[in-house]
Amino acid sequence: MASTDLVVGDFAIEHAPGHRMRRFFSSAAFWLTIGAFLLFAVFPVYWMFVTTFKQINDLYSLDENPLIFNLAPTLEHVQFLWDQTRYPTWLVNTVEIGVFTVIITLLVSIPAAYALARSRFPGSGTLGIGIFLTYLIPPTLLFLPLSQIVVGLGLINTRWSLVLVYPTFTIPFCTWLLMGFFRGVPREMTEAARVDGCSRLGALFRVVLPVSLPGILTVVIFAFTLTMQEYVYALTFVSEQTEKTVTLGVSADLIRGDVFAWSSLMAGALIISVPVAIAYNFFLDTFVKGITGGAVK
Amino acid sequence: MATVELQHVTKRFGDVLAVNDLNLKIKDQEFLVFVGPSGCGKTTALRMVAGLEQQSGGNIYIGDRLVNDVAPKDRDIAMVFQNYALYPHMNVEQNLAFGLKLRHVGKAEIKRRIDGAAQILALGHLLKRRPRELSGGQRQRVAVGRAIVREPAAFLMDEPLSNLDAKLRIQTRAEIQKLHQRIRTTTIYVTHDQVEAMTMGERIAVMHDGILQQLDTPEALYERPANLFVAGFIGSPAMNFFKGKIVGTPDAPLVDVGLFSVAVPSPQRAAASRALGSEVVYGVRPEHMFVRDGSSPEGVTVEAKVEVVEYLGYEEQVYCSLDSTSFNVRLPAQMRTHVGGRIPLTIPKDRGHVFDAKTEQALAA
Ligand SMILES: Nc1ncnc2c1ncn2[C@@H]1O[C@H](COP(=O)(O)OP(=O)(O)OP(=O)(O)O)[C@@H](O)[C@H]1O
Ligand SMILES: [Mg+2]
Repeated sequence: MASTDLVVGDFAIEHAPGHRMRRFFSSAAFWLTIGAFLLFAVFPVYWMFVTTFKQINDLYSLDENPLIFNLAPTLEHVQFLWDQTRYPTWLVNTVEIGVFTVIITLLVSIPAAYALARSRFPGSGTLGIGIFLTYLIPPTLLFLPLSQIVVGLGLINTRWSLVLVYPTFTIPFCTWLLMGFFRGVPREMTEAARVDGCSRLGALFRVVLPVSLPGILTVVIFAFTLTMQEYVYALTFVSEQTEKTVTLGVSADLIRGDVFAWSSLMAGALIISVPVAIAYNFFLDTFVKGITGGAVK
Repeated sequence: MATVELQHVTKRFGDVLAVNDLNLKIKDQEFLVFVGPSGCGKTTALRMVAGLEQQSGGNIYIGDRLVNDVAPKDRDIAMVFQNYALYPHMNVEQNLAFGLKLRHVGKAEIKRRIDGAAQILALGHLLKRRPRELSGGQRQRVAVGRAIVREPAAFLMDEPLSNLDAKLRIQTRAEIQKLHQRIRTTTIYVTHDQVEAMTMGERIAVMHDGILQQLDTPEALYERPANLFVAGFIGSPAMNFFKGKIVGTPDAPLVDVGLFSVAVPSPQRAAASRALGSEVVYGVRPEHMFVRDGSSPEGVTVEAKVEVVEYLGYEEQVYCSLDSTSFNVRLPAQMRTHVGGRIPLTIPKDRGHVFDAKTEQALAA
């Protein structure tokens, strides 16, 4: 990296003054960029956190520094969210919808992606891109025809309507993502498995899937977050309080006309994003590293 | 253990004829090598035996069983891949045990076989490691071990040494030979390296453009190449070729290459007598020519100009020219040949090979 000293053997290399200046500027630019990016990424989360635990008087006071707690932090808004709204139900709904969507997505995406990644039928490449393109069709276009289907199946106003509809965007996206991971598994590895005693399907389950575990976890988390943040379909298909998701419930119940229950809103957002953030950081990082490598060459 | 037989096996990829009417029978316990230049269809042929590639035509037998429609897992073969294709999520022991567990081999038996293979291949201390924690040579041994423990009817190996460095390659080459002498499993070994083929193969199938050129022992390939391709492919540096014509009498036919005339070697004399006047190619190996001295064998001697000398310590490789024709010879290192000088080279009378210029086949008795 730009910040490390160049050392050869025991001798630090002497730099000419001009060179040293350049090095200083390039490392300053490096840290500035990182810093700016960090600020950009962390600030909203920090704001969410501070707002959640601020007393109302602190929050609306314009005279104090808005970035810190000027009065003691409080759990009042979290309490309100928990006791006075259906937030716990929404949370359960969100997780339930997410889990079912992820399961359906995996069941469809894994075979589809594997077939597209491995088989050599004419147009298999184009088909892969075609599938991804369907992901780009916006929900605002699709919710009208989809609502017909949802009504027809009698699922309107239930969370099952969302379990049905969400795979329409998670499947294309995840299939495309998994294709990349499966392509990274050397063909010889599945062939070795087939010679060793697996059927084609057996090779998929015993070798390709375990080796692609990082990819599959990525897909699980992506699919889950995609469903978690979805709003348009939830808004159009579900109005029953007990069937709502967090995204929908929080924005519908904590914004009354032009009165925003800011702190509870932020609490609602914080509670659901923390586990996901943890999953992203720990889980993936440790899994992605070190599973693969050494298979070939 | 078993024989492997290919009858009229053909493989097409679209317009490419990768393997063209391949017929051969690998004997029980034999170590047979497929060799040929890149793209000649060796891998494709091997993969058809493994069942990883469906042949476009022809029959494949393993033992007495027709396996055309048998899945790879049911063919009772084990394969070693060029890039090893170890399972990265399993340690060495699990890699070795994988195929056995799938076949419901008992625990004690699995242990016995893994211990056996680990001992043969010196893998004992590596059993708990993951493939990524192994060196290239160790991975290669694990790949071979995975094949051994299966105790299959046949081993199929596709350039298993090509990812190793030169020294390790020679060492492992010897180890694979030793291994074969010990367990005698029928083996098909693919390589593009003719030295590997010559040193390892009990018989060698030389392929070119999807067509089997010659199937023979290393000695026969070297002594009696069936055609120009085999003659040029086997041996390093390659055989020298001179265009010429059969002249002389039916009793004593000669090849006249313009610069010199040389007697047709005795095994081909009868065929040559019947082909007086026809266009031929005369081939002689670089190691079969000598600088003339008192004890030189009988033959024809030419004055060649020395163009380049490559000193190798134990010998010299000398690039010569004769008018506009260039060729090379291998001479003892103590010759100290001088570039630009002239040397009298003897072509012994029975070491040459005569090929029909049109069909490129060796003139046969
Ligand atoms: N899957 C495939 N699709 C199309 N053509 C192929 C395929 N596999 C091989 N071929 C073609 O078949 C021919 C033989 O290939 P093959 O892999 O058997 O060569 P090889 O003798 O093993 O060469 P190398 O020494 O480079 O490994 C080549 O012309 C190759 O381009
Ligand atoms: Mg090959």
